[in-house]
Amino acid sequence: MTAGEIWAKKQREIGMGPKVRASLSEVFALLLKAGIGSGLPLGHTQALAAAAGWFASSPDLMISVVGAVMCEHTPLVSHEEGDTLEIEECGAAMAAPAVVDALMDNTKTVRLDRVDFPDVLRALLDKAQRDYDVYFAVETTASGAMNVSVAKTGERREAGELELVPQAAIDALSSLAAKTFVPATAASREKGAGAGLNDND
Amino acid sequence: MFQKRGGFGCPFFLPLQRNMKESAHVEIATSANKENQLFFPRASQTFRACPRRQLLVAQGMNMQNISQALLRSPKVVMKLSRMGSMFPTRLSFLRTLLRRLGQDNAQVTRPVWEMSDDGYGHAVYSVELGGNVYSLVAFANELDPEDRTDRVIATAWDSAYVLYDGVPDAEEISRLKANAPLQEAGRFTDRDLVLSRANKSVRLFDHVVTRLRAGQQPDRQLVARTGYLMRTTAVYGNGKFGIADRDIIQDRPGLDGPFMAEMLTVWLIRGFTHDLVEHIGGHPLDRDLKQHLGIGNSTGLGMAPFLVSHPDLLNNWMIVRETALARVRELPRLEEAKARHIVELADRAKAHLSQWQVPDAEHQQRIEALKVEWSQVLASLEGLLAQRMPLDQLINFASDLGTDCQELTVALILEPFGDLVDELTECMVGSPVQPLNSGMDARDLRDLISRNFDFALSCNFNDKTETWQFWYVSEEKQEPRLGLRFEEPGAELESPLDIARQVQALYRDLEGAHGSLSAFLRKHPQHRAAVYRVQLNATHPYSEIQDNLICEDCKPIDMLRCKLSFFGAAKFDPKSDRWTRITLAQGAPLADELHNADDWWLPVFPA
Repeated sequence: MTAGEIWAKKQREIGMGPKVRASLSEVFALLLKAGIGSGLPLGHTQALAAAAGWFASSPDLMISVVGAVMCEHTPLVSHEEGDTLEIEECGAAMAAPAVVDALMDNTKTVRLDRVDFPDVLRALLDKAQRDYDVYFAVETTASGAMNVSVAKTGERREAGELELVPQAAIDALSSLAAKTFVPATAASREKGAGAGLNDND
Repeated sequence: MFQKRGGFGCPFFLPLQRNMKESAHVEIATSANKENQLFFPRASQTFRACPRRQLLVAQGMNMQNISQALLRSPKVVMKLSRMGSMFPTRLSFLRTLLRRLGQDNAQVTRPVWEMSDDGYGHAVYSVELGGNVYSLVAFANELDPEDRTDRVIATAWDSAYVLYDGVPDAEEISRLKANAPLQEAGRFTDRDLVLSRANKSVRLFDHVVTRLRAGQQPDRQLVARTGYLMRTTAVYGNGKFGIADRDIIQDRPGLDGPFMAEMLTVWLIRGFTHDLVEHIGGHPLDRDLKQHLGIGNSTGLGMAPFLVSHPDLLNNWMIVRETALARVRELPRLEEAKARHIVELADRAKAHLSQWQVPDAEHQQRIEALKVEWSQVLASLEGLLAQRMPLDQLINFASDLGTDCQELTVALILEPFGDLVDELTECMVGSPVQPLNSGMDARDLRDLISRNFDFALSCNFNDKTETWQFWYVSEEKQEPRLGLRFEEPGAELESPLDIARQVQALYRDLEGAHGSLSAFLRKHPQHRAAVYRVQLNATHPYSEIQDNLICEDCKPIDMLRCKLSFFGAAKFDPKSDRWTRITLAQGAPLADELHNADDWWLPVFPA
């Protein structure tokens, strides 16, 4: 299991703890900063944050996406066989944009051997269905692999109403986001807005 | 919701974009290959698809058949030096808001005024806009002068504000009283639309109070010099600290435009500062003094990244402005009354410039140079306006003058033509943009970069001066800052505002690549953000600032001025190349003057 999966499992075991209200903008910003802080490529981070509405409408999904961000973001290992793209064991945050890219580029089926957080992948696919005005069919095999293909019809799960967010998710994302902050110095402070003036003028 | 906020882009302008002088985008836009069809729907389809256009057609506006000149090229308009020369126009957000308030015959009421004799307490102002009532809840607090700072890192202020959705009851006021003065450290609800704070301009505030208490009016020169009683140091919207997300108000009439809730807040704050000083002083201020007292603002680097992180929104603001300019340039003749109006406005601008004085020597020198050039414009103005294609002639005449003068001329000639350009403000928000086109061939993407990103390709990033600065977020209240890469720590944590460098790196890795981008991005996931920006720019040609934002010469103040001019700010008073003070709503109508809400471009104080 990845570090993110272990963390998410633990949160679920303890019932996710207290929950707090957060605006969608806050969830979006936290995901964006945390993604960058965790080393996820910028474009992937943006894709993840853009689906904030899906994540923030389910505390359980929120725990999953935090776990997905926490993972080490290694490049995908994939190979094409005919009109199928096979992706080896991967993280949802790295895989989801690649899956959508492939399907929108005439790949018939994307097969994922194992995804750390399938629900995060599905949320990102839900959003992509709307963005591209398409349907995806997702099939999970007995071995746990996922096959994703473009379908003529299907179900589109839209972002729901905002739910309370587990405090543990906020804390974990904040901690990752903080990795992008530069410690303040006197020199940096002197250059910001409002610096260098008597403000009682 | 976020997709819209981060993905604004109004396809309404696609046909207009084809009129740009530079052919680069036109060639792309008229290509008919498979990839481009996704990004360039036919004009008729685009018009039908744009809900905002449907709304305008339903209102009887025919936007499609207005003739216009060519748009100025993004390669000209989107240079930082030009963006840093922009002036407020009638398309600016505050102007749009006040026109709307006037159209609605909006009445501002003050249902709560609980203020001590010294001016500490709270007040509520309510106004109906577009069928909804909004209230400014204002808290005035006693502040130790040692704690008064314009810095984002401040923790206490003279006053704090919330724009509230509805009219707050006592319980809600009590909740806000406990949180609003804490600002970033407070928590808010989705009934709270905007959060702000302001500090007194102490010298003027105290002077006005002293004079009013003595039954006198304040010194007009001092009022003219300062221009506001308080200045805001932050105006937060869109979900910050738990306040309402933008999608809660984005479809509400009157608040659906960009930053409308924020503009309503600052305009109401301005009225509060008038009331507060009259309350403490015990006598009313003369009306013309109040009209001239706007609301100040200190703005720093926090505003700059917005323009980079919202490329589609930046495009829409700029293309509306450029389209408006193109429309008036196309006018074949001017009626005498219109020509006279332009001359009057140009004279007003001259007077405004004479009253625009700043402590910064370099900027004052710029203003002085502008005054000289503006005199040249004035000397030729009547002759130019009598010619055929008068406003096109005027723009061509100004093109030999400095950038400041050129942009002031642009703002001038938009002013009398509300009937021709105001409807365009409907498109300053946007609609969803196309997602990443993974089917595009890597070679086509490289071609796009070659055509449209020469500002990125021309940089030599081995030269230290091209990477001299780095943007970052400080751990101190998460304030965006700009550091010197070779002198200060933290460059490894820099924020991704290095667009030119990202695009150049993408271009390098695209060399020799062929086949679709989906395969390319699996191999090079680090380029995903840049790929999207390049594709977006093909349909949103004003989406990129066409300069290297990390080079030694980059001046963030130019980005600030661009954005602030869209807000409607004037009297830019730069304090460094990284922050500025400005004045908003100077000369704007007071709450009881909304019946005449639109004639306050570059106001002049009759000192």
